[in-house]
Amino acid sequence: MLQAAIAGLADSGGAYAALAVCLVLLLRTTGVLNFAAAATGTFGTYVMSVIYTSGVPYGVAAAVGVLVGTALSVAFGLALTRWFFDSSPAHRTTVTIALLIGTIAVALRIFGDFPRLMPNLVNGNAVRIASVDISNTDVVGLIFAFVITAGVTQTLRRTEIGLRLRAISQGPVASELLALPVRSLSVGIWALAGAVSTVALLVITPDRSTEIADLSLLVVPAMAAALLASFRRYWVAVVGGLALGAAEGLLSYVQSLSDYQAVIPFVVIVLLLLYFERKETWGDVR
Amino acid sequence: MAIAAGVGLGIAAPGSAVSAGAPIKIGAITSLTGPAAFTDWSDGAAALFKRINASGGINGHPVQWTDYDDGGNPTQASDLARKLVGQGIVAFVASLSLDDCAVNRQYYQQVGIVSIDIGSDFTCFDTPNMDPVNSGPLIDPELQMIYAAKVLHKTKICVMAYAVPGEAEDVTTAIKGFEQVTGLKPTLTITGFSLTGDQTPAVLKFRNAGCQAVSVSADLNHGVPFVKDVAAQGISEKKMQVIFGLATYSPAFIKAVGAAGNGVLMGLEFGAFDTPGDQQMLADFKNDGLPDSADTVTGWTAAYAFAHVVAGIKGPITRASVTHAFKTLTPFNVPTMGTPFTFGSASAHTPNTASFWVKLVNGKFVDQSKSFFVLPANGVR
Repeated sequence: MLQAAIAGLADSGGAYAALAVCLVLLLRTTGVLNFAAAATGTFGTYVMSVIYTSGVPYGVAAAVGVLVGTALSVAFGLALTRWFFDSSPAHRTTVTIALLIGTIAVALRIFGDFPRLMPNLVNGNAVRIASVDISNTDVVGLIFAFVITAGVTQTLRRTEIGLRLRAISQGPVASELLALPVRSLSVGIWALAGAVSTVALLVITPDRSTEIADLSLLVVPAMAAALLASFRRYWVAVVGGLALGAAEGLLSYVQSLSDYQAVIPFVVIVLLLLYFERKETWGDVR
Repeated sequence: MAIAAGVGLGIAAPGSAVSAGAPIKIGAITSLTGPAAFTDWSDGAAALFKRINASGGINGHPVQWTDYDDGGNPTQASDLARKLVGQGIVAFVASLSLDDCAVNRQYYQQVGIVSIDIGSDFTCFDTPNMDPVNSGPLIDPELQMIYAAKVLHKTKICVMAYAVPGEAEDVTTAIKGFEQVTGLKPTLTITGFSLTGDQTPAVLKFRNAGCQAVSVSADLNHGVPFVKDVAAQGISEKKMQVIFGLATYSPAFIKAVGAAGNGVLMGLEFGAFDTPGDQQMLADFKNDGLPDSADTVTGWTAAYAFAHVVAGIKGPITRASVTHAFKTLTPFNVPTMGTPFTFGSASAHTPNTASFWVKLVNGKFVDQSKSFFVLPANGVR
């Protein structure tokens, strides 16, 4: 059991945590709950695979993949800030669901539905814990999640850009009236989210099914982790991502519970929503 | 080879005749789109019919094959079956649908039409008028487990199936056959494993249980990460032999697994591409611009079986005469199959009960024998 939890945490936890931090950052700074977060990373990862299998070195292919994932995310950000800036949060979120479905459909058309070569970010194993070999890629994924979270939290807390982003998160319209470059900063956040998402997918794809829809829906466990952090506390989102990875591994180890492995994120989401809404009266919730 | 195969099917050499008779109308229902799209499986049938028609048809009658997409929708599958029967088809050939068997098998009995199909679930293998040319989700794992015991001489054999509807039941039945034939019991059985999650926990369970061989009902997308997870845990082929089926017999699999795939065994429902029985089929694929795909073999095989039987019909080719020919059929060999094609008056059909074994060695599939491994008589069919 411990082995399965360690394997789940190492293989999936880092990617879930990085994606969860992206979701929190985007929601806090741009007001968009981005359902297409993992889809952009999936698209970039597939581009990496196509380039890599054509004979280009992995480093170059991965860099191009991250650039494409970033560009796609920027395109989504531009669309949302240009056409849906004044829309309600629910409306903007609905748009990202459409973007998720659209990205899956387009990616299937372009790349097909057969498995792709997804090499490890770094070859070899790093460490053996409780008879489980942890790969270098998994370790890089975990470190990446911590580094990106530290970077985001410190930037928001200690820099001029961070101050502006925090101002935007408090009131985008007021910030724009104060001549803050709200739209360009928002697009910058979308770019960062696209890059982080692609790296997270580069980390996780060597270990699991490379089906485009499956990878794009990794946004669900990431959302559960972000919700655990109330879409506010970045480090709690990281812990949530790691915990969900471990829980998935644990459940898949127990035969009678393995059928429900994929359900965990939804259960977590429902339970947390019930908890957060516990003091609401029926009329308010409605 | 083309002429020999042509004679076998009652057709002439290419270019030697023009089909002048009335067309033989046949149909297929395929889930070309939808939740599980079978995009290239029936292409093989089109390739064979193209050659047959270019060679003068079957006994002078061109084959007119209509393949409809049901979108993985049961209502659509039902409507299309009635539409095709209404169009006057004499049989269904090379159908591969998520719902055709379950939805239409009773209808096919009512209207007296046969379907030489590619079975997607157990209902395809459990009805008098449908005859799948593939061995299917029951025979596949059964053959894999028995091969591990009888040929590889493993005693600790394990099984893994995914959260696919019906797969757990198929594996449970396959295990009964394995136990009957070998007297062994599986050391560990995992069913209903998540299709989306990391498979390392399953690999660790197999390792901890001491499994010497694991039969995995994986498709391409799940076989690749399974093999990589096994390699990542440093488990060698000698410690634990990974066994897959036909779905992973593909250049895409070789590319995707890289060195981690070294030593993986595959039990194929049809002969490997380098076997003599496959050469005419591969020529048809080439002629039709198709890649050498394991999926496409099934469509070609169904079309071959149909053409062979129809070529032997004396008199008009009608739905009744075609159904009669299949119901009174003497088993015959199909070049791609390891066991004879049968039909007859049985209440259920599983003609394909053999597997051809290959191993992935240094990026190439290497035949493990020149002949098929056939399911013993006391196995479950």
